[in-house]
Amino acid sequence: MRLHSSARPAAAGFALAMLMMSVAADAQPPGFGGPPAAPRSAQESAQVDLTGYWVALVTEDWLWRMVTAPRGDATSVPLNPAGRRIAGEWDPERDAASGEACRPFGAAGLMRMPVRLHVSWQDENTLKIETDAGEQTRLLRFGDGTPPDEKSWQGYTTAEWTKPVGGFDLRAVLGGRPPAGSDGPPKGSLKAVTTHLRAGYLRKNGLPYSENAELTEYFSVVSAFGNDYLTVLSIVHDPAYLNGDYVTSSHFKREPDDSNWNPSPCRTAPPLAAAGE
Amino acid sequence: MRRIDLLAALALSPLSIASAQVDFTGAWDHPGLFGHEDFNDRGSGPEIGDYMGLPLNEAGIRKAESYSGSWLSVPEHQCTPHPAAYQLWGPNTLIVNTEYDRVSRVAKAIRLDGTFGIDRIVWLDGRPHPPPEALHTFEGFSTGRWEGDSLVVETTHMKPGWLRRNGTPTSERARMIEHFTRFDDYLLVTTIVDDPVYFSEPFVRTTEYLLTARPAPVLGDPFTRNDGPIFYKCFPAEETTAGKYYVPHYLPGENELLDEFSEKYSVPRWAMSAGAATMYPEFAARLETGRSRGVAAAPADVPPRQPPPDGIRSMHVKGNVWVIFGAGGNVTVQIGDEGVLVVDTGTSGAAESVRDEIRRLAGDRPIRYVVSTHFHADHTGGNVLLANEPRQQAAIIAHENVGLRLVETGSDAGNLIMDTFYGGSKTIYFNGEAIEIIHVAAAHTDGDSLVFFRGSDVVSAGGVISTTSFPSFAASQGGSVEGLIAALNRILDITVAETRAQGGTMVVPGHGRLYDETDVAEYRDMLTIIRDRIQHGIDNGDSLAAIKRSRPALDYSGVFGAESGPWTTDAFIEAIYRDLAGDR
Repeated sequence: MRLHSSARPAAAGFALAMLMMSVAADAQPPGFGGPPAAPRSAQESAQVDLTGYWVALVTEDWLWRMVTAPRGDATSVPLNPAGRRIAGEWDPERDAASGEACRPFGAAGLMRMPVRLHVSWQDENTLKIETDAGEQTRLLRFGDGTPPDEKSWQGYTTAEWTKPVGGFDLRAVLGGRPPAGSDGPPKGSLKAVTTHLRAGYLRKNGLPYSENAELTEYFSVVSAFGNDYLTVLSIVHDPAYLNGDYVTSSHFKREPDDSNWNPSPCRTAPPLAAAGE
Repeated sequence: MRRIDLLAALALSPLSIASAQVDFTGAWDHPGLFGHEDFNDRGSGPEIGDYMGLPLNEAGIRKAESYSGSWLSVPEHQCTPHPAAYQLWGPNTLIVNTEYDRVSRVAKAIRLDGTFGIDRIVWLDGRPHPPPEALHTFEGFSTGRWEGDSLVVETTHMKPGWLRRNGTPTSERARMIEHFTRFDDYLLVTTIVDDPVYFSEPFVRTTEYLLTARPAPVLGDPFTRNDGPIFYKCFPAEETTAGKYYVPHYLPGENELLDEFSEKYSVPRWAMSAGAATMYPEFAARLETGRSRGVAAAPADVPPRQPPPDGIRSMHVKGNVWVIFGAGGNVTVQIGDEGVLVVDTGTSGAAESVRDEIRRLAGDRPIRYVVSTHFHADHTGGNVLLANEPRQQAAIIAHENVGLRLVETGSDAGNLIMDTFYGGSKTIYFNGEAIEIIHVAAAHTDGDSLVFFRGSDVVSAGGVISTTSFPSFAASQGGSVEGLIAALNRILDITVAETRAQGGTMVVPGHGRLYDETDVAEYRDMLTIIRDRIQHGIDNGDSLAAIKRSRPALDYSGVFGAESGPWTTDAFIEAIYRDLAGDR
């Protein structure tokens, strides 16, 4: 009983110490104590290694992703009446003729397309995501920056490494080492927010998002059965054309090299029914 | 200072770290309630023929194409819940709770409750997965560990299930790894299923949830409009006028729904059965050029992930009943105040080990009865030793044909005095429960018995079920395929599932793992479907060679097939053919 009561302040103190160390973790060298180190670059402080070649596994929404659905088919997508009206006017030939063939390859729809990704560091604070299909390049920028005036298919993206939600990070106390009982190196995720988009399509069949859409994404990597998988949780916020946020998740399998990398320009295949006519 | 050291040690101990690093507790809904992906899965279900985007091999495709939606009208399947590999993908509210150890207050498990599935327990306390002979369930057995910010859950011991609600299968050999990762108020579950029986590579699915702000969501909402608890025990009903033992399925090439799907969505038939290739981006180009690479071949037989350990071992089944594995054939043991009753005794070589294991379980209680379900040496080899233990002359009970066959084959067990019966059944009351010994004619042999422990609610199935091979019978020993199917249906007349098509009456097979009613029904379905396919070939005038080339057991060979040994897939098909064609 006596031990129990006297242990309370010690426990509180210890928890506070851990919390403080957790908060300060990014500025500390591994281990306890020592002078604060210079801020590390995004590449140095990466919580997860997203680099490499990845191929989309289209195991979900196949009839809307692998093939082009018929005009007006908005199954699962919370389009509002304005969005449905735009979707009903979709004309891929008109898009191609007006130089807008890359509308389905804009950031808010790109990760749902059947593509391969090449993820690499453009510089120590900019992560680059390239696609073979559509030949698009996304730049995920860490730290402060100024968005350009011009809107683009891939918009302007800010990025940050994320911390666990709902708990404290024991890795901070352990100097960056993985805690006992967990496997492998520390694994976190990357949060990216994209704005300044040029209006594009959520799906190949012309389901629209507006130039005011905001895209929030969470990138992480998981492993199972000898494979690495890149997962992307995407939230599209676009009151102009959506009744609510449009939330999807997509996954990619790591490929050993670039042997399957097959760049091709933006192109939308006609719906299968039309192709067979 | 010493107290702080103690606290620090506790905080950094593995037990402490086993507790949640990220908080998943709460109620989660798919965004927009039904989610923004694969609407058909969240609603009425995907159509027959929608097999694209799945890494099915040719066995998986065959199984899917033979699936009939009427399968759900079969009494034993009516209450089937969404299996673990599918549950989160269906219409679903997910409620996550943490369970704490009563003493240490360390989180020992996470509980996942979903709308149409069974509640799942993810053990965090380091316990091992059960032995391979343990009962498989729709939720499987799950353990969890932290990997960075993700909870990684590994699940085994799953019953055969599906990836989509259109018959795209998963087998009992499937293994599943899930990563639960929280991003702000979103929960992402990445599900990876590896099934060497039906897949050519692992299947991956990502499912997202949003932490719900709805007050007191209940499972079943929105279908109950959250207006109170529902009683969802689910008992089967007679839903069709089809015969009691009707097994609905499509014969190869006769599923007209496949053409309907192809026409409706303009997806070529070859693309619907192209398997893993359909998942990759280059398949879009193939759709335009009409070029097909073909689906991956099915394995002839898939070794168990977790081979049974060597040696004798036992497991409590239910009530007064235990099972001993590793003796050649399974040995069922009923133990009580009056002594011990043994159903089948394994091989003669294992008899002493079986006796020792019975003593370990029952102490010095004497063996009073030995019941032989059939005459084969891997089930009667221990009769001489176990029935003649010092101080305990046990009565040997069997159908008359068992005694005749033992004498005919010159077995030592044939020299023992037996208490045989001629009619349909024999009953005894022992250790406080009625025990029915039920003869099933012309099944595995001509002398098979089932042993039903009424009080314990356990059936010992003897030679009628082997979970490690296709059902076997020899016409020369009085067996037949029709008799085997009838025997399996007889078991289904006895068994009752506890809830949601699992649990309840337990069934000890002659070989292999523990079964319940649904497992027996799947086994019965399998034999009935293969019988129908072979009969169809016979009706068409096909030769035995032509029927073998059509591979009527393709979709079941991964689990039950063998390319060598005493009961190959080829021998199984040939035995059925000769039996049905009257060429015995």
